[in-house]
Amino acid sequence: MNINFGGPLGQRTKNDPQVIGRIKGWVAESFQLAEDVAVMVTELRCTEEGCPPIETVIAILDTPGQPRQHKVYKPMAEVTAEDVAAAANGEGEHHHEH
Amino acid sequence: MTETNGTTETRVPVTVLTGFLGSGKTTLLNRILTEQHGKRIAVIENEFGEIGVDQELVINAEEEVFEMNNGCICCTVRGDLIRILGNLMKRKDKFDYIMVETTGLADPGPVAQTFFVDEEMQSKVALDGVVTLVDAKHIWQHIDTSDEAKEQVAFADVILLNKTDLVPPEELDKLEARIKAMNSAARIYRTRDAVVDLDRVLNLGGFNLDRALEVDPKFLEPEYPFEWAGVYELGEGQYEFALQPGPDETMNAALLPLEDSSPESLEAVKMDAALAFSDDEFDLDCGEFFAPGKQLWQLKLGGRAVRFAVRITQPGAYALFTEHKPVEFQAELRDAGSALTPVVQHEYKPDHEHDDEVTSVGINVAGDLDDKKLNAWLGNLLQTKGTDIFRMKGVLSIKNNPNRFVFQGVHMLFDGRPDRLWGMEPRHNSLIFIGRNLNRAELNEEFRKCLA
Repeated sequence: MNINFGGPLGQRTKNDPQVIGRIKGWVAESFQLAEDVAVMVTELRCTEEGCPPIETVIAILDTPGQPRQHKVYKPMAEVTAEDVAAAANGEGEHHHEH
Repeated sequence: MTETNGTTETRVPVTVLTGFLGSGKTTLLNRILTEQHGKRIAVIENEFGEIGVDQELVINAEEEVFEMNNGCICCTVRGDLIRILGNLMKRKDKFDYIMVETTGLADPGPVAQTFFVDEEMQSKVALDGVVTLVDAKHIWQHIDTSDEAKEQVAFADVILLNKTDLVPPEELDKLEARIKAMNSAARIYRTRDAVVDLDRVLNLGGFNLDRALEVDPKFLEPEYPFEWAGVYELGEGQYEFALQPGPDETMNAALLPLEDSSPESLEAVKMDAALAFSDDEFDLDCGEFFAPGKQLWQLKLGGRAVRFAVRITQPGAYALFTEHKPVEFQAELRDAGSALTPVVQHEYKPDHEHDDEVTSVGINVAGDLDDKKLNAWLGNLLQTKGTDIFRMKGVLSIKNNPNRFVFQGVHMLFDGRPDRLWGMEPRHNSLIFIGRNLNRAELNEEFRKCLA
């Protein structure tokens, strides 16, 4: 059943675990992360004016209390190794949470 | 591992333990760990936790909350949990259950959302339940003032009213009523020293709404702003509605015309009555006309016996809805001085009058839903009210689909899936929202518009 009701995050389509695994692999490689560093990849959608309609948020939780977030303005399935590398090189938007 | 409609649930269940400092979380945790249940349990303990038994898999967590947002969407998760669970997953063969203990002052929202936000996590672990310990003696110091205390109650699947030995039974009854008004979906158990059958706190099955219904079949029964309705066959003419002094100085009432005097017609007009009762009421003093229609009247008693004139120009069936049960006011609809007996009558679960902004709204409707309408409504609802909706869960009947659809959610996030076949069971929709400032009439009305 392809029911997909829900809110902004709920509206995401169920992504293939392989797609997520692939992005996480690129993140580990581009950001040169140790094996045990947790990475979270989530697709956010929003239909409100002024918000990006879709984005893939990559959160790297390597330093406790200081997760890093990077955004790629594409659906998760379309994110490429180059997008992730660009984020690692500081070309994408990124910020620290405090 | 549980079987659902032939599909095997392989995800590791997670139980979240919340409750104020001193409510008994660690006592319960120690009890779970020492009991012979054959489970290998990993415990993620808060930084002040004091697990007293040797346990191989105890991980200390520092509550590290972080916010994911894209401007208008804000989703707060626990970074430390993501990190710890990510590492635990790599050693999955070592345990088959996870317990997360939060600090007393924690808002359970970010913990619960952590299990819904990351899809990889969602595929490996499943939030089985939120268990909230309440210190029956000291909760009164927090429940009015602390958002965290309210949210811990609101988020719970199971609430243990602990330390019952320190509180007289009537106070426990009062506390239980207060908690039920905030979260009518939770199962409440009274405990001393956190002694509880582990089946009541573990393996609840986040999706197993049937089990919740088994415990309290009334929990999904909606609450109404009226307690009683009676159907009368009235010919053209004048009647009177007479009341004696009762427990309230006023009584809200409405008299709605019906198609006929059947129980089905009464059922059909129930939502109209709920909407009328959510409108402003018009004051009515003794002797004035109590007119039929979708108008809510507030009958003034002022501590004395009163009568109101009812003039019927269109003969037919009418439903009298009253805020309180007529028996409390010896209220009667009279024809030439004789009390009329309703052809059909029904008592409703009252909409509890309380000051809490945190409440639960249950919806129970037969029939099939149009998935497109449902998507549009629920999508918009969660986007605009998601921050105020703490939890929701339900079983839905989607048109042209032979399986039940079950879901649960936290704020803007949800996890839903097809469940077993409906089979011979009558198709229906049962869902519950627990949150802050929920509009019961609007939620009910909007949900009904999603029917196919």
